[in-house]
Amino acid sequence: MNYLDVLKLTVLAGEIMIKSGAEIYRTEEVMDRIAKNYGVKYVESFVTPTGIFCAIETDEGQVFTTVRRIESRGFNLTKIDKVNDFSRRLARRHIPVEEGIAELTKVAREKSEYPRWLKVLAAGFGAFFATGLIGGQGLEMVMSLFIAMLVRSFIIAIPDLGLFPFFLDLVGGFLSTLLVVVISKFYPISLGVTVVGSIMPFIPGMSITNSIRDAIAGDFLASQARGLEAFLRVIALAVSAAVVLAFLT
Amino acid sequence: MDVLYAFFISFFFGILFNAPMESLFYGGLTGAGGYLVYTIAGQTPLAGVFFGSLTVGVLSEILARLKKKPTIIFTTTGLIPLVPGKLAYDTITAFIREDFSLGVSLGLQTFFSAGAIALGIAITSSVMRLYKKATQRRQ
Repeated sequence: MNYLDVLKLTVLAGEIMIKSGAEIYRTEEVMDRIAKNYGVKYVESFVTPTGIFCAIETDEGQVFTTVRRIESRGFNLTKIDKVNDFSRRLARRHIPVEEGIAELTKVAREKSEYPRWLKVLAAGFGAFFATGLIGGQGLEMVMSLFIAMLVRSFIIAIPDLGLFPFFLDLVGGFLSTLLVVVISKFYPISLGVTVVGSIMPFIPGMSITNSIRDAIAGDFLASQARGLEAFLRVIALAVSAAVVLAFLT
Repeated sequence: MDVLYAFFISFFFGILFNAPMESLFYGGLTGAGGYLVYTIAGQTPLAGVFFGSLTVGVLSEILARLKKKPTIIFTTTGLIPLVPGKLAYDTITAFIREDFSLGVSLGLQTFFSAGAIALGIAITSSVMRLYKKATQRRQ
């Protein structure tokens, strides 16, 4: 058996999961399961949000170790599901290592699950219903819909400049609030519900959930990193909205 | 009506987080279920948020097992309707008006609501971990 290929496949699976925003313990669990299914007796994986370390030991007592740096992180629940599904299938029947690497490489290369226009639409309707939930009326809901769609289109159009991570949240919060304030000068809409509703699509829901679940699993390093990410992104939204409100109302 | 809104919020947030297409509907159900409990269990808003989040956690774990998908797919989108956005907004505007006592009071409410969400999810996650460990030991 080619242990190096097994190691490659294991780390690839972990890399996809972390890059898509999976929990640490689940990533480690899937990596261990994949390696063990190929007959590796001893496997140790250590995963953080910024890097993966993995070691496997052969039957002859040789140890292979690899380190993978994770530089970009996004949110893609479908990719997490696909890797998870792969490890489930592997447990039921044998899949040749080469086939596994080919399959996961394909998953890694996949772009977003949904086209951009659908994301814009989803942000719009997310804002629409969020406004309704906190007591917004018809006009306010429709305004949130259009503002969220406009801001999302703008955010998607900005190329990835590699600026600080919450730059987009600052821009999003600022633009949304600015648009609501301007519109409220012409239409009788309640500022509060419309601002909150149209900012809602920027709430870092995955970072919040992951931070909690990582903490429960004892991965405090990852939990802190993700909790801080969520906290800073929410603060970025709040501050950018506050700046606009303080100067224009 | 609000429960229907909550369903659609979770549904559309699923698209934003790239959830698998076949799970969007169930993500919506989780959000609606959590919000339903939030409205009926809400003796105080804080208790409502806590029980809502607890419900989201339980529903996610059940759906994850039924659909054989990772739990976070359902949890992440299900929690969104419970996020105290309006409270956070009111906190900010209170500070802008320099009404600091109201700002601090609202800020604490926001903080504790967020904490209640975290606690609800934390409890279901850790119960599931205990259960998992117990079944593994038996095998």
